[in-house]
Amino acid sequence: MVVQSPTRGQLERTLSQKIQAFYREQLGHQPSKVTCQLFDSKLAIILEESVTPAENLLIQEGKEDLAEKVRSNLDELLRPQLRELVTEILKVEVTDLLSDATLETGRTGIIAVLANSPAVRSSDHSTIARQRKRLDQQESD
Amino acid sequence: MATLTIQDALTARIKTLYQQQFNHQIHQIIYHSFGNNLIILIENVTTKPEQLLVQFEVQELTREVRTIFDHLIQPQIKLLIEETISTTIIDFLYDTSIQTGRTGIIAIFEPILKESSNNSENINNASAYF
Repeated sequence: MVVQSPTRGQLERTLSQKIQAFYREQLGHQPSKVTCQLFDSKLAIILEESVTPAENLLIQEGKEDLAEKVRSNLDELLRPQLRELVTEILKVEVTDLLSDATLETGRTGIIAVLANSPAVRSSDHSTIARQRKRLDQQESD
Repeated sequence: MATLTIQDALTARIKTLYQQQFNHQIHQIIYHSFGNNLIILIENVTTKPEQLLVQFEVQELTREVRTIFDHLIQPQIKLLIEETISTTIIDFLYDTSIQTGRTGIIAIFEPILKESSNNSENINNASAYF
C-alpha cells in the first residue's frame, strides 16, 4: 500500500495543533492561536497570547526585566523539545531554530530552518472538481 | 522590473547598514510574506571576531557581544522596513544564532483597515513583492 504524503495545509494544521498542545503541557498555558507557514525549507511559527499568567503578574508588579529573563530562559529550555517535535512531524531535520517573544503583545515568533523541504503533495483540486461535477449532475437528474 | 523594487531596495539598505555598523558584508537575505507577516532571514551576520570566538568555543562572551550588537541593529532594521514598505510594524521578533550566524526576523504589520484605502494599497503591494 502506498502511503500518500500530506498536503502542506495538513502539515501546517498538524504542527499548529501539536505545538499548541506542547505549550499547554509544558507551561500550563495554551497560546490562543498558533499559525504555521511552510515555505521552501523553512517553517515560520507565530504564537498569539503565549505569555503565561505568571509572567504577566511579574510585568504588572513592575518586574519587566525579570519577566524578560524568565521568558528567554523558558524559550531556551523548550527549544530542544520543539526542535524534536517539528522533526517528528515533518520528518526532516531542523538545522536552525530562531525564536523571540514580545512580552507587551504576548506574541512569540519562531523560524525553523530545515535540512530539506518536507515531502508534501499538492491539494487534489481535480478530484474535488470531479466530485462536484458528479454531484451537480445527480442533482440535475 | 517594478515587482522587484521594494525587495531590492530593502536588501541594499540592510547590506549598507551592516557595512556601516560593522564593516561586514552580508551576502544573502531571504524574504517570505503571508498575511500581515514578513519573514526575513539574513545569512552570515556574525563578524569575524565573533566567528573566531565561536570557533574557540568562547560561547558566553560571544553571546554577550551578539546581544549588544542585536540591540543596536534591531531598531535600525525595523525602521528601514517601515520606511521602505511605508507601513507600521506592530511587532518585531528578532533572533540570531551565533552557531550558524543567521538572523531570523518576523515583522508583523498593522492589520489592513478597510476605511484606509491608501494604507491597504501599500501593504498589499508590499506583500506581493516578497
